[in-house]
Amino acid sequence: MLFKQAPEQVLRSLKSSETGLSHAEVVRRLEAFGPNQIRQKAKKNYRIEYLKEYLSFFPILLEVAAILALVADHYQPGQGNDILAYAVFGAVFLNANFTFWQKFKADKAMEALLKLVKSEAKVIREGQVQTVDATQVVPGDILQLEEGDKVAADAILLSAHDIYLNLSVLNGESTPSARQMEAGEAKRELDAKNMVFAGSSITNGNGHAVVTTTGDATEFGKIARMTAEVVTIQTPIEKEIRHMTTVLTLLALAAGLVFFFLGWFSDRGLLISAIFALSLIVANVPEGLLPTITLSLSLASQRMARRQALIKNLNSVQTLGSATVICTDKTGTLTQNEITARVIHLADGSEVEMTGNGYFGSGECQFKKQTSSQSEHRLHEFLTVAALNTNVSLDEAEKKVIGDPTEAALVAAARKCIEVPEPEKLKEYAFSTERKLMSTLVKQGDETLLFVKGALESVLPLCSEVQAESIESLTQESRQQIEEQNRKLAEKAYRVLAVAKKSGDGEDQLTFLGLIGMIDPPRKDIKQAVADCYSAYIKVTMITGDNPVMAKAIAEHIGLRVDEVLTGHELDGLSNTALQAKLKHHHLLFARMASAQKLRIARLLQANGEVVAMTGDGVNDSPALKQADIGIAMGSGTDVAKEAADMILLDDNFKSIVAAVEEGRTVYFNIKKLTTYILSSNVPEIVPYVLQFFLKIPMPLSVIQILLIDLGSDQLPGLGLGSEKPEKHIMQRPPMSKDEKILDWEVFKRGYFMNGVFEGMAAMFAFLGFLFLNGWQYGDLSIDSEFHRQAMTMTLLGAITCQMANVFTLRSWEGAIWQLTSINKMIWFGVATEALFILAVLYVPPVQTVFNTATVPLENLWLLVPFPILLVLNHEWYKARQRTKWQSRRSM
Amino acid sequence: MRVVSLVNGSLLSEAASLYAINYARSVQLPLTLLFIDNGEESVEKLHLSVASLKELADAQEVEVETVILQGDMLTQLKHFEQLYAIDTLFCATRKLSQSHSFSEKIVRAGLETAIAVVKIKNLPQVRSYHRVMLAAGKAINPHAYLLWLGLLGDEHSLGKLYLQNSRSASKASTKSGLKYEAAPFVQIAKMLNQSVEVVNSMQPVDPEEINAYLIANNLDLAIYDANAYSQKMLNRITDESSVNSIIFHPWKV
Repeated sequence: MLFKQAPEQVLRSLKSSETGLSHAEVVRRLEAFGPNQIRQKAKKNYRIEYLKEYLSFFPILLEVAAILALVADHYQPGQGNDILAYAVFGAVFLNANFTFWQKFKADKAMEALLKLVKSEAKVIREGQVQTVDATQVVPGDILQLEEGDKVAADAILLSAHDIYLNLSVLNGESTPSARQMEAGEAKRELDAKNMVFAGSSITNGNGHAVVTTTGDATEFGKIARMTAEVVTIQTPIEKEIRHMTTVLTLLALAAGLVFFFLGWFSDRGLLISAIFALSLIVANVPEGLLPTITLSLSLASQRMARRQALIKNLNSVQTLGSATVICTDKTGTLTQNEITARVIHLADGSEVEMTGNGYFGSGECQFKKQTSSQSEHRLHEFLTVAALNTNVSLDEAEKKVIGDPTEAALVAAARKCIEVPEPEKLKEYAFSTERKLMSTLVKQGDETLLFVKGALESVLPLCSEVQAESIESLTQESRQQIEEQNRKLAEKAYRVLAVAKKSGDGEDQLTFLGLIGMIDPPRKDIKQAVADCYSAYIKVTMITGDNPVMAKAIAEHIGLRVDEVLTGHELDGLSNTALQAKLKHHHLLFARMASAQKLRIARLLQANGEVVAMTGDGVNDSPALKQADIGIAMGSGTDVAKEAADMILLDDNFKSIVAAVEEGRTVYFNIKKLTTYILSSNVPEIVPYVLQFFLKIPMPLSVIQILLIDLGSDQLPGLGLGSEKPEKHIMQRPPMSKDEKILDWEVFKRGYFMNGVFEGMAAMFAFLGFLFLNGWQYGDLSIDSEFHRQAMTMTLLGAITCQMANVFTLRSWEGAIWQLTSINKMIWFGVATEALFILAVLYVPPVQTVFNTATVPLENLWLLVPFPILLVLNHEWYKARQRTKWQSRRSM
Repeated sequence: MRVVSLVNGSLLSEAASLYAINYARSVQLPLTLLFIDNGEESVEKLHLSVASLKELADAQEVEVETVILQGDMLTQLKHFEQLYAIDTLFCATRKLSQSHSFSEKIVRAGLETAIAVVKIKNLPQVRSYHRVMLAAGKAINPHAYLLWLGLLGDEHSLGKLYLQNSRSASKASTKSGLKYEAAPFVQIAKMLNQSVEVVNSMQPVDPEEINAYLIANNLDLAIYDANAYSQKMLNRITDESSVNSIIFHPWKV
């Protein structure tokens, strides 16, 4: 194995040297091994994507209808079937372009985001250190590794000085792993201690390494590749739209066929029956529904982006509304990911509280308990020892931390309270996971001092004295007191470090100075966000790599319900059945978890029927993100996680997930509203045909007028409904069931059988009322064409005016129209457009020619007034009854 | 008979030759490192590379000779192939098949020998590989099988025979037919104490799935019988793969 060989042998095997490769060789290798990048998903062929918009079931149905109309026009010219055909083709064209444009825009937004993440690498080539784009690194390149660097490729170390590697992107372990020049007992590369890996980062130290593998062949690349294996689940909205399309299309086809055969058998002739059936199909298919839903989702995703949640796939918006469980990381999502020192227990018994959050924020030290006049001096000494015994660098200008976050917290704490001196560092005893302590030998004036910090269980046994009022021997009793203090701090979720010092070198005979308690503070408003989840009947499950005590304490602090804490080890010991039962009946908290275990949790939650939202940032979170119903990647996470996720949290904040859930639910109801709205107008389109067939009256509405409603006047108000703001109680109701359909009986009932019926009556009242008022006699079919067009205009206006009223009453699915406080500008704009449509069909001759309408005397327009009012009153009465029912059901 | 590896001093040709050394050791044939000098390659690099390969071959007790010819590559190769009986000719190729590697010309030259085109993606795995897959289509070619068995090396290795009835997936009735086809070959492997698994797939070949399978099963090397799949398909699989591969073109007698 290459990593078991000596550095010079490795270099020989890779045909490289310590001075690096020549530029010519780099070019050859780049050609041989390809660029150092994870293979991206094959780019979409947008021509094919565009064509697909014409080839799904809905457009095909309309295309067939248009072709039939052309055929009809060929055999019976002059009936207006050619105009109908072109109008339907136009509708398909508009629909296709509109839907495609939305998807295209969403894709481009994502590409732009991913381009922001660009990495570089420092390599030695021809003896010179160069900074190159990480994609240009090849096997055999010599990497120069420094603290804070992201490793560009898998490489074997040629030299190493206290290198610690953060491998969390590969194995989920957040504790930095020490690197050395020997491979150790490793049998595979990932375990080799003398290797660094692509995607990991150097938290400490520096060195050189020779690249062995690049791109997909790296360990990082392999995990990324595995992500492709997990099957992508169809989102609820995709299922819904498919369901809706199928139901509505079958209804349209069934109605069309029934009337085709009725017409044919009643001797109306094949062609007339076919055209009649075609008209019914066109009337029944809600042509405007898909683009309106697409735009509604798109608007929602834009609103979410403003709330820091970037939706990659429009269809995921509604999935969020169905989420029943949110599995969230702790660090950075629930907490600020900025470890902050909060409390110091000095060895003399004094207690100090520290204010301010983060590494660069302001704050101060306040004595909560001061036991002697020397305490301030002791605090100064304590902070000096803690801050100087670190390797971290805090860049105030760029607000950037290079090094370990815990050490950064120590330095930040010291900066808040004292002027930190800068003595000469003589030697360092590095931290290791085995030793759990770190020491630095410094020269302060003429004195040589050893500063020590570490876990209490490692530091205390090395102490022989304690800095009380004066330096005293460390007795058994004082040891117990210190241990008790340590335990109490740990129980409060503090990460505790012990600080000690001595005069001279050697990690023994130390003087114990005190304990410092640090915490990664919860994010602002997180408590409210968690409470919002519970009131919205959403379970919140914390999955963290941190220890159980700390995780539980944070959970309690932010109001997370926890019945049981399970560690990764305990999880491995549970069968799927046992874990599934626990997940069903308990509020679990998962601590010390490897990212790979998230996938199992997601699968079992889904097996329990839950809709799972899962957060993650590392490469090995990707399979779980892909498996979850909605994968949420952190904006600060890896590209691979972002690629696998459905949504990216730009600010990493849990609160943004809750906001996104609210938007998801809103979208769900908005689609219900707009679907109801669009179905309502189908009735006044169908009823005239049916009545004309059975009652032998003149045709009340032409197909082109149906298209004017579906693709013209209905569009903007529908869109307005799609962009309605969240309703008042939307986050106080249970999530929508996965099996709950948007097109459920409620939508049918309100659309077709309530508001639709009123619209149908309105249309026929206007048509027949106009005919009778102007002297028409029943049975007279040979009416004058101008008179017929005026009557058809009345039918059209009857439908449009009802839709104008319908849009207002549908603004709230449950609430009363007069309780709405917000103004929906889009709806007002839509209604204004409808008014313009009305004026155009009444008074603009070219429009009248195209849409077969005519000017109607003003004295007849009162026929349009009663039914819109009745529609609103009826729907409001219905909602009021529903509210009473729901309230009594909720209170049970 | 001999095993021949085309070398030019490059990292890729050296890596491909390592497979040739392992194969030559298994089939107990001498290895010829063949360099055809057309004036484009560095002879100094070649000598360093040959020295390194000889050292490795000696350690494995493989008899090695180096032959240097001058002139046009294909002409000289044909000439050499007519003079000597070659079991398998190893040659390395570049990462992407669109870049028109010289190996393509060699394959098309109609040489009377089997050709193993080696595509290196992961250098450390050339020196240390334990899990080797032979993607054999619906029938196992004996020579491809020999190469695979030869490269399996020691008894700690694991071999996977990947049979795929891609061209007539709809007609194939049971998986047992493929297993029956593989049975004698599995028995031969067992007689040689090799651990072998047979993987049957009734699905048409999908490059993405094959590559995901290689990673999920931690395979270090994949050998493809070039007669079992279309060249376009093999190019897609091996171009997109992160695992080293050998496309084996058996000599059509």
